[in-house]
Amino acid sequence: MATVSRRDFLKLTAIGAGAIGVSELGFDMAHAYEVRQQLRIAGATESHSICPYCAVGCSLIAYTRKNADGSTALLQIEGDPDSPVNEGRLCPKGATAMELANSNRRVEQPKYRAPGASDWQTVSWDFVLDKVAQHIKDSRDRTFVTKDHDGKVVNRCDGIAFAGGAAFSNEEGYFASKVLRSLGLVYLEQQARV
Amino acid sequence: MAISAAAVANRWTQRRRRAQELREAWPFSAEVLGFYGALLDAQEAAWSQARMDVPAPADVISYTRVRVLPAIFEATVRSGPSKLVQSLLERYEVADFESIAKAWLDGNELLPVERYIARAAVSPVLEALGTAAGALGSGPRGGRHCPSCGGRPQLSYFAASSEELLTPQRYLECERCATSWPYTRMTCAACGESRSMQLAVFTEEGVAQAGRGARVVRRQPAAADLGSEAAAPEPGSARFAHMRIDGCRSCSTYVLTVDLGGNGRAVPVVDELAALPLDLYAKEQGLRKITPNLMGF
Ligand code: SF4
Ligand SMILES: [Zn+2]
Ligand SMILES: [Zn+2]
Repeated sequence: MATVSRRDFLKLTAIGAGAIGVSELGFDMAHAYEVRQQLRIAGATESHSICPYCAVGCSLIAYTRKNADGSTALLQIEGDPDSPVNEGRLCPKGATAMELANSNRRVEQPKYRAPGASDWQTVSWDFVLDKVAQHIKDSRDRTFVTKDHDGKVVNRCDGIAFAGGAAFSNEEGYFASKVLRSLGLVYLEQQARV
Repeated sequence: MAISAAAVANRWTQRRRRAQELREAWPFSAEVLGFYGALLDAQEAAWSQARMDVPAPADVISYTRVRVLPAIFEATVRSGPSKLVQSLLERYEVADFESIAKAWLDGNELLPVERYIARAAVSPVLEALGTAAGALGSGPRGGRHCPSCGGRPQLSYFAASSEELLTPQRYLECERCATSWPYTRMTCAACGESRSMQLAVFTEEGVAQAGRGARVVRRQPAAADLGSEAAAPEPGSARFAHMRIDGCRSCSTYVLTVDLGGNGRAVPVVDELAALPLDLYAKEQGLRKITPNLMGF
């Protein structure tokens, strides 16, 4: 049996108004107190969030904890039973929303597979941005249509289509559509549903 | 909303079964649960009798004094902790009981021993009367108060889930008549605070932890859990894996929450009584329970 120090005794007395180590109604608290000392308890915060994956917009409860270094750890995500949208349910995709933040299999650097190559190589962000920009410019130059069959001015780019990802925020979607329309794209689509 | 007599009778069996189970699994609660088990017999008898007698709401207190109190008193003296027994014997006068019970129903401050005896004796009668008990007790109904009798929430629980990707509703259970009612998860059951930053959830570490197979979705109790020892706490694992402390920094109160999805054998009212170390922890955090339970914790 662990020894209970004087300071611990003072704590114990604060629990019930009664005698040392005894609860208000007279239960012996020593054993419960010992177990309490072995317990490792941590606080978490629950926050409301919305599943990013589709237009249903299911409500989530996200459990987070502040780490000692000030960062926030995401512990768990589940459906919010109080939401009229999903009443606590999530589809299999939304149920893994936590992986979006936490998966250790998440690819964190850009990968490039050259034409005809069978392997991916890790490349820099600058390399990728230049590559994508160059492809966009080439395709646009090659396929740009200034006038249609009737001779009407259209100035459109038929050679590129764009599909937005399901995890886009409103702002990202707005930005993408503005940039791409400014290039003359007309085939814009958004994966806004499962 | 008629609940069959068999289903309700089963409640007492469940309580007794769980008290026995936890007494062995959680030795720190053996004294409390041993006494609770002895009291359950007297309470169930009172409940059965009251279901047959159906006292009028206005007569509940006098009915309890005559028909219930003696057995509850006797069970307490026989099995209760000596401090409780002593103060009960010192304070006890039959004539006093009715005013104590009345004060308890009105939500007035009482001494721990008075609160105990009022609750131990009157609550089985209220539970037997069901919604008819609603005419008793003062104060608001619904929301943070029992929709039937206006009592405060003793505990909160998450129902067991019927589907793996479904997070079930939270319920509160009444301190007086054991009615449960649905209540928003992320809201303080004492003051209605709903700002996340003011609400703290405390769990034993390892219950939901990122990195090591965190629960992405709610665990469903396996069918086997309901009929075997499978869900008894395994040595080394979190003891209170299916429980948590829901604290509120705005009103400095807490309530214990039992997750029936996390343990199919749990019986909220019993697990709440037995989780003494969690109560000790909550008190260290400067939190006070919304209302003390039957055993004064
Ligand atoms: S992806 Fe699934 S969980 Fe997410 S919003 Fe759509 S239906 Fe809901
Ligand atoms: Zn009630
Ligand atoms: Zn509060």
